[in-house]
Amino acid sequence: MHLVKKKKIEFLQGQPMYRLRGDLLPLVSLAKVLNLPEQEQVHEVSNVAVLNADGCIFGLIVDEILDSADIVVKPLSTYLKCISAYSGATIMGDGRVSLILDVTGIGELSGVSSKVSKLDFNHLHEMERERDPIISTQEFLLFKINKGSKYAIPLCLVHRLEEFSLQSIEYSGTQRVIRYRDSLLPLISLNQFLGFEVDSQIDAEALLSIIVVSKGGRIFGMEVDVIFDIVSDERGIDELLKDRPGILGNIIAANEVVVVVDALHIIDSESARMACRKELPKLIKEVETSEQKYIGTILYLDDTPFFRESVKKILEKKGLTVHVFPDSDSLFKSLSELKPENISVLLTDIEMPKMNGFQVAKAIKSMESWKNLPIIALSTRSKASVQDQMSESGIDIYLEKLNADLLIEAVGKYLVKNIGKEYGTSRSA
Amino acid sequence: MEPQDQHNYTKLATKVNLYATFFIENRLYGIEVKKVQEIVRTMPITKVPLAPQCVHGLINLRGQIATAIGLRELFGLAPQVDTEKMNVVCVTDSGLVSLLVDRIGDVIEVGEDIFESTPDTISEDVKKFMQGVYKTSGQLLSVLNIDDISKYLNSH
Repeated sequence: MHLVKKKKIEFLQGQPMYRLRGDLLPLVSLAKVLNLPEQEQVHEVSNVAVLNADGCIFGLIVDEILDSADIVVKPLSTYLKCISAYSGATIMGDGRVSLILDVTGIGELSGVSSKVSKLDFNHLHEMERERDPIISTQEFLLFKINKGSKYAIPLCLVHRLEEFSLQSIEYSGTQRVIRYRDSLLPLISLNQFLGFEVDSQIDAEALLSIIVVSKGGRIFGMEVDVIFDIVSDERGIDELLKDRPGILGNIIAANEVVVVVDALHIIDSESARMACRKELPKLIKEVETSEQKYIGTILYLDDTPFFRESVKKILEKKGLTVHVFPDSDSLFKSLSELKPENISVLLTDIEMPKMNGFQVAKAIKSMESWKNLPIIALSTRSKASVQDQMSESGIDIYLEKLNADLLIEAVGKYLVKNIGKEYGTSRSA
Repeated sequence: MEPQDQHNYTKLATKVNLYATFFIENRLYGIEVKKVQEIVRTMPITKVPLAPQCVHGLINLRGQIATAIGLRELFGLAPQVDTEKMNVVCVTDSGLVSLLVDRIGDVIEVGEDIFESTPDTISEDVKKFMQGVYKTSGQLLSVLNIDDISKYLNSH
């Protein structure tokens, strides 16, 4: 990103252009894209930020350039997710909320990086989906544990980042907890869980860095040494190397290998320990069934890339075919082309923009050809909080994200039956 | 508004509900207390261009970002300019939502015996967000369903 100041702007067919090192740089006014009243005439432009949206270079005209800052991007409410101009928001040092622009979205809205000339929002969104239906980047929060080694956690699992003083730690038996927003936040030391040496010489004044993760309606605090960056990754998690339980795999971030921790697994086993269960019964079962393979095709609807990838991998390891969908529109579009007898189960997320999982389930159960399709909900919310909506919507099984064994077990219920049916028909044929 | 009067209506056998109340154009509205996280005074707000009219912007609530929704715009009333607005912060499936209202009322306790469903003559703009009406002694209390508001905002 470069800054260009007080340069003369030329017009080509009425569109502002700038000559940047001999190449034509189309200019776009941010105020115009965002539908704001423009402060000045385009001739008096003082600041142009040169951006790259999916390979299309363009200049964004802004009023003023303030500063650069390292920030933690927070997602926007689902009400605003459909505005492609933003990728999130952040809280600045002075406490103000600042919107984060999505360069690709701005490029598309302004017509620079797509062939659409009119600013038709719905149309733009459809274009975006058709071009890149499934593959999307995942974001990871990077932190350090084990004396400065770099680790990561998928950002979509992160509820909040907090810092606490050592004095705020209290004990419930031997479990360390922090009183946090009217409830108890149990602390899980990642150093301890992963078997690294815990640094005993901690400065009493130092602040603890805590990654707050929510699972099943409860929150847990993951204690790490330092939280330092957020990276996006397109290559996905390499699951080949896992040297211990609690590790999901590796990603490459800024030319370095970073280990991704399996936060949901860690919470599962830690909360079992907190509830005084010696061992999870399902772990024993896993050994018995781990070799079993299934046949079948599964549809999976989820707006979060991380879960789409992880669930797909879990199911594909069992020999299943998985079709993933990022939103309800693409799912319903495919349903009209698929045959009900070829599909075993639909897995769906609950919290999604536009139609939520309950609405999707309800719509499918009311379709004549699809009403018998088993539907399994996968959500980070606790089952108790959605009991009413669940029975009303026709969802057959509700699972908390994300326990691979429970998922396979639930999906397996419907697959065994299906295989039986297939054998039956082939014999009689 | 005299909240003490409510007790006259509340018999021992009837189920009692608590509502946080507030005013828009001097009309009394209520939201279940358990859905309300807190009530705060006017906060600095960051506008979100391109968002629907009822989305006033984003506010920083001690490190969490809440979406501020103008109930006047949502209900199709004329927007009120330059008056101090109070924030009723609610917890929804889509995160924190801050409802901008004219004035805050009391937290009141009402019995289900004085509840009635929303009459048909109420304008659909407001009715679609209403759970019903409590016939309290002072003023009629319109009960809003924050989940319906959230659902509506998600589909627009």
